[in-house]
Amino acid sequence: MWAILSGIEGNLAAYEAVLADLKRQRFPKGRLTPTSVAELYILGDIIAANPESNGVIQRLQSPKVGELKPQICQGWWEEQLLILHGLGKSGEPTALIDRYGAAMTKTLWDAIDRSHLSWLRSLDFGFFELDCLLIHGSTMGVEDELNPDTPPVEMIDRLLRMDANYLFCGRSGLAFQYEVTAGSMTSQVATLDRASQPRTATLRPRKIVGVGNVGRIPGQATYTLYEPNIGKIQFQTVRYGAARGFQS
Amino acid sequence: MKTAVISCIHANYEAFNAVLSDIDAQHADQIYCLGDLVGYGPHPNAVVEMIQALDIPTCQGCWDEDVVEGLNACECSYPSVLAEHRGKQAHEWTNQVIHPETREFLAQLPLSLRDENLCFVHGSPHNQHEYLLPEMDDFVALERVLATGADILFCGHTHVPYVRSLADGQLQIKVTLPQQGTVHQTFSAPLKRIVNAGSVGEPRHGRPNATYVIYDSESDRVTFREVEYDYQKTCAAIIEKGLPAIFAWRLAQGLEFAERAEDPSHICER
Amino acid sequence: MNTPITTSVTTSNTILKTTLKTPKKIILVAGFPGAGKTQWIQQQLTQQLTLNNLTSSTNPTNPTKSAVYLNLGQGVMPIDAIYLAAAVDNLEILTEEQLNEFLYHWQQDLGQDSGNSENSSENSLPIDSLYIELGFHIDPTSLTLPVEESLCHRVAVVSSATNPETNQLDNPENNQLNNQELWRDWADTIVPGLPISSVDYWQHSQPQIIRSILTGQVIDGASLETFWYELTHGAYGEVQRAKGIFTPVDGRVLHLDFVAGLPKDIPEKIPETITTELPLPPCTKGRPDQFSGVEIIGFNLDRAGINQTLEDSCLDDQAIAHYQAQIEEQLTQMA
Repeated sequence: MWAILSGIEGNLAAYEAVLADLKRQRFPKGRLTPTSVAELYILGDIIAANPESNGVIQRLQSPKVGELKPQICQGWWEEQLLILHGLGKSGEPTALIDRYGAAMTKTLWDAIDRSHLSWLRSLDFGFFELDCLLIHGSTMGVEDELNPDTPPVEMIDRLLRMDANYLFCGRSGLAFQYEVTAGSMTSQVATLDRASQPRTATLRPRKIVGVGNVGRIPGQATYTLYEPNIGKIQFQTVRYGAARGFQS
Repeated sequence: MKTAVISCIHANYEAFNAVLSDIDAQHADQIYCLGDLVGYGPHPNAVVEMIQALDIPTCQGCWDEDVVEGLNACECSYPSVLAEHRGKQAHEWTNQVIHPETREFLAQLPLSLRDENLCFVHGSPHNQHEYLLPEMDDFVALERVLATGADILFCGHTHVPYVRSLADGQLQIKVTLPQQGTVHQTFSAPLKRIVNAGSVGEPRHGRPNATYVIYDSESDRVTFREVEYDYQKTCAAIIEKGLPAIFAWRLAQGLEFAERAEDPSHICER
Repeated sequence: MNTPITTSVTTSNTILKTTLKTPKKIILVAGFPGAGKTQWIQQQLTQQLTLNNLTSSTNPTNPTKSAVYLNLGQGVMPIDAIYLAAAVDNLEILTEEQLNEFLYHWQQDLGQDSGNSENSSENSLPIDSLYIELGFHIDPTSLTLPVEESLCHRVAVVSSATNPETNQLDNPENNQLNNQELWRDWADTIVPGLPISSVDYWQHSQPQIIRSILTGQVIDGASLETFWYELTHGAYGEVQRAKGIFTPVDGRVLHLDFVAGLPKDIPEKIPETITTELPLPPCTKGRPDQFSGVEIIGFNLDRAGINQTLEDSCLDDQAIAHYQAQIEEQLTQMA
């Protein structure tokens, strides 16, 4: 089973709550079972424009004994930070300014310790395991926000770019399952020298999964559990802090 | 209304002239150009001047962009070290002979053009460097057209013309949100087409003739046009002006000079 | 006196009697470029080797050379020699400079052998034949070797293309090199080679030869393909014959062999270019020591164009180091 998270956004308490929940998943009734969580993926946005993000980075870099080593890829916030420091793909932090205003550039700059830059830079852009693409936005980039309202052909395009059957993403912050159960089309190509016969193109079922968001909403973290062998997807909501109720 | 769509002239003035005569003879009402006015060929300034003189709406091609920005073409399109050498030579040569006003003109070209339900791009709606190859996945092709909101997407960049029809597109979708259950949706797409206009100046279909297309909105039909011209004149100019002499031979064979449109799954990240 | 054991070995279109303990022979092989001289020699050598292996009791871990090959006229281009040495076991390669001395000793050995034929060890593998391949630009009639005539056997390899109406070899009168009469005067044996349609070489003028040594160069594989396509389709002139040895970055040693004029519309179509990977040690670090180069024969050849393309197809030190490191990493991961 895989645990897939996104959007810790510097919220260490939320992350700790998820880890505690994962521990219960890993060792139900105190045992390691075949269906236990074996992999932990974190799809970007581990930081946000807050200094607590430094603590999250350190926590991720040093998992405790018995904890899974997380596989982390870059997200939107990480990319904005790298751009600010001249280490990104593009020159100007236009996306950051457009979304949060110019003042955010200073806030972000001040929040994250420079010593973490090389580690953040070294993070993968995404992962491809079995038939699954795990990435913050999509292969188009971290800013590509896939959500339940995204037009179907666009969803299919993102899946087909990597020929993935599953695409796990976190950009929208939402937890959702968007399944293309079937598709068909008649296509025909004519060239200078010949006209081809029409043929039918079909799609096999594929799915895009929004994995939820860990740190944005205080007191409530959402993440995803996925069993590759049977294709089962389960959304977990963990409450923590004052609102957590009876959980240990 | 007959619309002639031309692409990838690549500074081949002889070919361009012949195509303009053919467009005249075909009584087209308007012309659109999909870019790559310059690059590889021996007469970049003359081609641009003619485009300007005839006021032909043109979108910016990848070579036009490269000449403006001083970059090199998408390096992933070079199938070999040899091709890369030759492409760079062509790029440097073009860079040196381009007039400032030509460069300015190329810089202000839009990335895409629109005429009612027709959309015109160089590579793809997303990227000047992306090849829309005839063998690319049908659903990905559909996404490209739908992304423009047009019924027919005209593109170039591959230098081999084709018309691709995507009909009866149907998708079944199932969306599940936690605590909200599952919603089923059916999505249908009307007939969409991708039309590749081939290349006027650097044909890659195995013959030296220029290719372009004419779309007749009344009959809703696309016609391929293949135009013979005195390509030997272009060959002579290539050699005389100091471009790689091998381009002359490759033009006569209808082969790519350097870059090759391969790998429909490759998405250029530039 | 030893009675020679005679065996007949039938090749595709010829019969060449080979004998163990037979007096040694010098086999001179001539023919126009691309006729198939080297190919025929390879056939003979391979069959000879098989025969020797079947009947001899020589220690296989320390085999003596069983045949010798010399390409007369190769100059600085030992392409055929390298190819044969890699393709045929126990082949000794001679250079032109070594020929006279070799023949002197050879004749001496012959003298000793004929005197001691009864006592010749059955364990020794006599060097049966010296194959001398004559470059097309060497007039075979002008060649005289300092050995007895009886020791020489002259073979002419001619085109096997036949006129479909007459079923005779095509245009024997027009093509001087394929002129049966000419060869009959010189050759002891005429061997049909590849079915190249006759080309009136000599009516134009002497063909040009371009030789480019590429030893130490690492060529980009895809560029080599493009260059070879251009070369064999007329981009650099009318090429009749081209052969080369190339060393791409993956360390292989490739032998490319092109002949123009092969028939295109027959069921068993013979490819114009044959590419062979030679079983030679790969070079996985730095620049190779292995000889590489290309020889091109034809008309109106564009030497500058050829050399420019070859230059542009080769990798610089940085690229070589980069790709070799990549390959090493891939091999480590696969292991």
